[in-house]
Amino acid sequence: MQEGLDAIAHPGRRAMLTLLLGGERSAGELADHAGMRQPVASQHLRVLRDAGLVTVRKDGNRRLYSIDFDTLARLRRDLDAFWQPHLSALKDAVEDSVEDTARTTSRVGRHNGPAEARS
Amino acid sequence: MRIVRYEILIHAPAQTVYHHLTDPVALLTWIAASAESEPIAGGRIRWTLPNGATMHGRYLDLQPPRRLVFSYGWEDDLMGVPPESTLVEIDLRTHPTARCSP
Repeated sequence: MQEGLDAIAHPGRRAMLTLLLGGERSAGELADHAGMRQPVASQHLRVLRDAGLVTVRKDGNRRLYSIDFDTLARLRRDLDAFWQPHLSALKDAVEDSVEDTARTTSRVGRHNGPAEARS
Repeated sequence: MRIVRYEILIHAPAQTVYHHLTDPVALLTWIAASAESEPIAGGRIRWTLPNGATMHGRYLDLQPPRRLVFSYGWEDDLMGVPPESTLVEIDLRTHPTARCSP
């Protein structure tokens, strides 16, 4: 997961990936799109390749890159595994606090603030 | 480029959700073992999870109780996302079937 996140942490590499979502592209096209000089772009493409996010093939003297959707999907699953439990915990904590406030309010006839009073 | 987007339905007023997202004590009830939060533009946000991983960032946009944006990342280079290297945007919208507002 770390390598994949590292790879997408850079805005230029994300720009490249966005372009590749539309299909195979040459290194030159990717460099232009990311606003990079070719040697710099090559280094970034190397990071994406090492993370398994892109694959490359030779076409004459051009190098054509495409996205590896399996790796992208795996990265997505890893991110989900991180965020989903936290979001569930947020939902539970908020809903529990609303219930507690409702109980307190009805028992002692007071409320803790305008937002909770409406609940 | 937006990398991921999540949506959840919470049965509570937006103000209560906003409070849980920004109040240092309320953060302890769902994500953090210890938390600092200064919910003003440029203010610091820092959570340490129960596993010891520490996230920190800064609030960039706050429109209580509807929207908060903060930069985000992990100390000690965890998960390859250094502090303030990425952005979290949270929008709280009232569900169309909500019985009360906001």
